[in-house]
This record gives sequence, structure tokens and C-alpha cells, in this order.
Amino acid sequence: MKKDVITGIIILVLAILLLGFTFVVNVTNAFSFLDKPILGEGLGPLCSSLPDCQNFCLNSKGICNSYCRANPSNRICDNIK
Amino acid sequence: MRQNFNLDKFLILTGILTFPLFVILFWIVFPSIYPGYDIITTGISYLGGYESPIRTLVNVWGFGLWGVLTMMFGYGIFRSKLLSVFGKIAGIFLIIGGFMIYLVSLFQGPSKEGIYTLAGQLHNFFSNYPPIPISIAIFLFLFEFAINKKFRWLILPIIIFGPISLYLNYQRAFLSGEIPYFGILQRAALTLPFLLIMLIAILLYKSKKKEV
Repeated sequence: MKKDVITGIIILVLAILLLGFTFVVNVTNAFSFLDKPILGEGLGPLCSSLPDCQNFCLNSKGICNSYCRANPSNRICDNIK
Repeated sequence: MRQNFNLDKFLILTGILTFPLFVILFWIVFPSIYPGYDIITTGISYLGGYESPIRTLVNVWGFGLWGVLTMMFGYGIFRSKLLSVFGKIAGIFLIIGGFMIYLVSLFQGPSKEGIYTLAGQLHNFFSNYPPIPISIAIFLFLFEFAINKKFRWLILPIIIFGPISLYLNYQRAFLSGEIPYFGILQRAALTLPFLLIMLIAILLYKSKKKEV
């Protein structure tokens, strides 16, 4: 019983620490360095802008579809159908 | 107070809470306090995305708490004496799934549409793949319930909702192009597995109560 209480307290402390970490990361934008464009405004390593991607995907539709399946939130994908 | 504390029941209770938490916050509360947010077309990632006015609230009390509760439930399943080895392995997969949901609270959705960023890639990974470990966990529960008479009736809801949930999750995570009702599709895809988790948790909680 005592062991359960101690384990319960440890779990609660860990939960509070995790949520506290999320709070700090969100308030301070601690991970904003990850939000810099890596390869331009396009489809990852395939192309770097909307016109460039439209041109590229015209001839390489399979590769583009494959990239878009793996990165569904990339809005360029909506414009290259 | 100390005498009455039962860690197993406490951990199982967190599994019961995951479903109402998701439904109340992501279907009702967050969309209603985000000005101009359209629940039908917009995914839940945008609620906690970089440009969201309620970003911190969503990431701490939404994704963060949801992930933490799922991990706690997974640990509760893992240490439950009512379950066999299938249940214990399911518990490990639930912990993995919960941890991935928690990581969504740290790596928010892409801020600038169409821009390739590491944060966006991490977000996509952690938001697209939690249904896989969670589905494996629910699949393992099928075996657990097949050999465990007390919980056998739960096989039916798993057989009904499991494949529907898998199909919806595939559609939401891996279908490219514009889906006009994406917000609803994504929420439905995430609601169903947690409905099953709640049912499993309720039954375990009740069994624990009888045991006590």
C-alpha cells in the first residue's frame, strides 16, 4: 500500500513536469529554431516553390504523390493535382 | 485517505477520462473559443499550431494532458493483475502511443503553409502515427479478451469499431489532396479508438471494484 502511494506520487509529479515542460516550450517558443524553412517553400527536397513544384510534378507525378502521402499537411500538395 | 488509495484503480480511471477529455475539448470547447475556426474543414493540429490564439491552452490541456493520461492508462494496463501477457504488451503500445500524442504538444503544426520545416515534419510524424501503436494495443486486447471470460463481450465493439477506426485513420493521415470535411473526419478517426479505450477501462475499473 505504501509502495503504491509512493508510485502514485511519482507518476503525478512526472505528469505535472511533462505538462509544465509543454507550457514552458509553448510560452517561450523554445523550439522555434525548428520552424525555419529547410529547403524553401516547396515539397521538401523535390522542389522549392509552387511554380517549380507544378513544373516538376507534371513529369514526376508518382514521386510528388508519394511525398504528399507522407506529408499530407503540405498545402502545395493541394495545388499540384 | 492513504488507506483507501488504490493505484491500479487510479491509473485505470485515467483511461476512462481520455475519451470525454478529447470529445469535450477538441469537439466543443477549443473550436468554440478559437475565433473563425471551422470544425468541419480544419484539423485539430491548427488549434495548437503556431498561429493559434489558444495555442498554449490547447497544447497543455489538450494534446499534453491527453498524451499523459494515455501513458498513465498504458502503465495501469501494464501492471494490471487482471490481464495476461497480451494485455501487458498492449499496455506498452499504449504508453508509446500516448507519448507520441504528448510530443504533438511540443512540436506544433506548420506555421507557414507549404514550407518545409523540421518542426512541421516532426509534427506530421507524431500526429500521424499514434493510431498505429494504439491500434496494435487494441488488436492485442482481442486476444486478451478471447482468453479472459470476464471481458469477452468487448470483442464485439472492437470488431465493429476497430476496422472503421483504422480506415478513417488511414484516410486522415495518408490521403493527400483536399478533403472538404477533414476536421470531422480527423475527429471521428481519433474518437473511435478512445471510445474503445474508455470501454476497456470502464470494465477493468468495475472488475477492480469487485476485487476490492
